[in-house]
Formats: sequence, structure tokens, C-alpha cells
Amino acid sequence: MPIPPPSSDTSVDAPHRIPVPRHRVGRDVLVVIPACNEAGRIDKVIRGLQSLPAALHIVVVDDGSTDNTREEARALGAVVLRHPFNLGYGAALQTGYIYARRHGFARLVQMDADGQHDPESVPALLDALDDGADLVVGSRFQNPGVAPATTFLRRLGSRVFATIVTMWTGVKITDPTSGFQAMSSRSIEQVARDGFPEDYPDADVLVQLSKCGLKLVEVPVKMHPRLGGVSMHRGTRAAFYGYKMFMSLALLRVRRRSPYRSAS
Amino acid sequence: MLLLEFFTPIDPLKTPQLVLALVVAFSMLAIVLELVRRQKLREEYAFLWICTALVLTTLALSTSILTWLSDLLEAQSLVSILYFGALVFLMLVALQFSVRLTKLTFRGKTVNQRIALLEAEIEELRDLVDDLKAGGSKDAKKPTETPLEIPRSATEIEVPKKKGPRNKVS
Repeated sequence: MPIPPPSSDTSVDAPHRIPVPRHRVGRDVLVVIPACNEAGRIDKVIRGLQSLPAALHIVVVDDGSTDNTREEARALGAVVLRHPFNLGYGAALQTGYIYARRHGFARLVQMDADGQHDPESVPALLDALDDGADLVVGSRFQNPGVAPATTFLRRLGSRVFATIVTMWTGVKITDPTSGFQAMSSRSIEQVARDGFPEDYPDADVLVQLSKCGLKLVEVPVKMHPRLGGVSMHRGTRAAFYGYKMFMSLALLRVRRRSPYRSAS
Repeated sequence: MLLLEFFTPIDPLKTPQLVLALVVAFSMLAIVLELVRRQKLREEYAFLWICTALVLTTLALSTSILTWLSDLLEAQSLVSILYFGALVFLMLVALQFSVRLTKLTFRGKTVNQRIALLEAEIEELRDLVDDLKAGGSKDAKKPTETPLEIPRSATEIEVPKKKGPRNKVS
């Protein structure tokens, strides 16, 4: 078994590199799936990923589920990182990022557990990474496929943020709220830092990574209506999302690192 | 004499108002001090509460300060200034709590993430140990070129008596 040499990384989140488990030898792509109460849907997503020709290492971040999400994922051979409490979508993603950094993955794909993101689009995201992109955003709007039904207000919000991100980064982004993304190790290094938004990491993260000199690309992906469960953008939360994103974007340039964050 | 004049309630603040303010202030002070005594409230969080009580008391007792402030702010009523003074400090208390909540949220998140990662790591290592104990058989590939010597039971893990190069603990 190849055991990686001792890491020189001394940051808190990477105190050591653990030996590569046998089941992922030769797998350099990590798929991070944040999930909260997605039993009955997550198994389809994992099976879809496993049917791909690419060798993927699947990590499900169980964000405080009270159903069988964890058991289903483990039964299919995925590694499950379980939050003791629900910490939010962004925090769940970040746990996956930290895992990726600790284990030294070079490429990462993140996708939803509810079946909206079609595993068939994963190779397209990885191809874009291989072409030199650091962050690949999968857009549902660039594709004639079935876009999930959304309300007028959510479409409007999405358009507004798309315009802001496109103007700010200089890269044509049509779907800034897409959670179907791929990242290079340089991006992983950035997002694994403590300071990644816990709640809704979307447009602000895209702008921030672009400002760090990372290369953004958007590719068309296939999305489906969710298989069930509840959207996290429901009711008043959508309004909070709008407020939070505007606040985050407005203060992006003058923002300072919080002294309350961990020292990684 | 001067002190008496300074602390004598004169007509603008009516007695019931004064009594209410003092009762509220002293109750607040008593409760906060009692909570600190029982170590149910940390001194750092008690500080602004005590300030609130003191401001309320001072404004209630010192008519000169109260009237001066009222004139300055062209207030209609002395009572409004009295409670406005207390309100400012209560707002500071609320702000302090919001900041502390943010700090705790960050820390709680990080601690929870670490737990999740460590649990997964322990499971992975446990699986690894199980595989090694099983001699790397079954469907798994050979873990190492030279098979490690694994003690059959935990009791065999002892400090080797003979100092041989093979028994060296690496």
C-alpha cells in the first residue's frame, strides 16, 4: 500500500496525512455530497456515481440527519462524515473540503443528495478541471435539459446574482446558486479555510475565489426536479438568502478575517 | 449640602417614577450579583448589566444630570431620558451577546466538523487494523509487500524482553 510521505503541512486542519485506505487507492477524485434527511434519494445518487467509469471516492457529509441517510450511504460503501448537529449546507460542504485537503485529493466534485444533480454530468465537470480551471460551476441554464421548477422570485434573484458575478469576475456565469461544482486542489486549499460561509455559499464564494486568482469556468450540466424532501430555500429563508448574499457581496472587499475563527 | 442638593429629587421626576426606577435598578443589580455569586453568570457578561443598573440609579437620583440631559436633547419628559439612558446600555448588552453568539457559532461549527472528521478517521483506521488482523485476506489487495506481524491477541502486545532488531518498536 502506498503510504504518502510525511506531510510538511503544519496547519491545524492538516496535522498529518493518514494512510490512503485501500478502497480508494488510485482514486484521486473526491465527491462530496452534503445531506440532511435524504434517505431514499441519496442511494440513487451514490449508485449513479458508482455506475460512472471514473473511479470516485464518495464522501457523504451527514448534516444532522434523523433518518437513514447515514446507513444508506455506508451500505453503498461511501465514507460518511457525521455532524453531531445540523450546521448548515455551507458548513457541511466545508467539512468535505477539509476532508479533501487532509487526504490530499487533487480534484473534488460537490453535488446535492436529493437527485437534482445528474451524475452523468460529473465527467463534464472533471474535463473542465483538466482543461486548467480551478472552479467549475455546473449550470442548469446553459442546458436544454429539464431545469428544476422554481418560483419567479427565485429566478429573479438568481438572475440578479448571476449578473453581479459575471460583471465582477469577468466570467460568464448564468447559475451562481448551483451547488454542482468541481474544484482543483488550489480551490480546495481556499475553501477548506475557516471562514467559508456556513449557510449559503454561492455568489460570494465565486467572486472571492476569482479575486484570489483562481480560474472560473461554467459548463452546462443536467439537472432534474428534486426527488422529494424539502428545499433549503423555502419560505422566508429565500428572503434571508437574498439579504445575506447582498450583505456578503457588499462587504467582500473590506472584509477582515474574524479573530474568532480557528487558527488554520 | 451640595451632595444633598445633587441627589434630592425635585418636582420634575415624580415619586412613583423615582421609586419604580430605583426598584428596577436595585432588583437588576441584586439578581445580577446573585447570579455571579452562584457562578451562573460570568463576570464579563455581568459588567454591562451592572452598568445599566448604575446608570438608571444615577439618572434617577441626580436630578441635575437628568435635567441637564433633558435640556441638551430638548426632551419633553424627564422619564424618557431616564429610561433612554438605561436603554442605551441594554442595547450594548444585546450587541455584546450577538458578538459572543457569533464567536460561539464559529467555534461550535469547527468543533463539530473536527468531530465528524475524527470519527471517520477512527473508523478508517479501525477498518485498516481489522484488515491487517485478518492478514489482508478476502477481496482486499495485499496491503504490504512484507506482511506485518500482528499479535493474535491483545495480550501478546508486551514489551519485548529480548532486544532484537526485529522487535524494535518503530
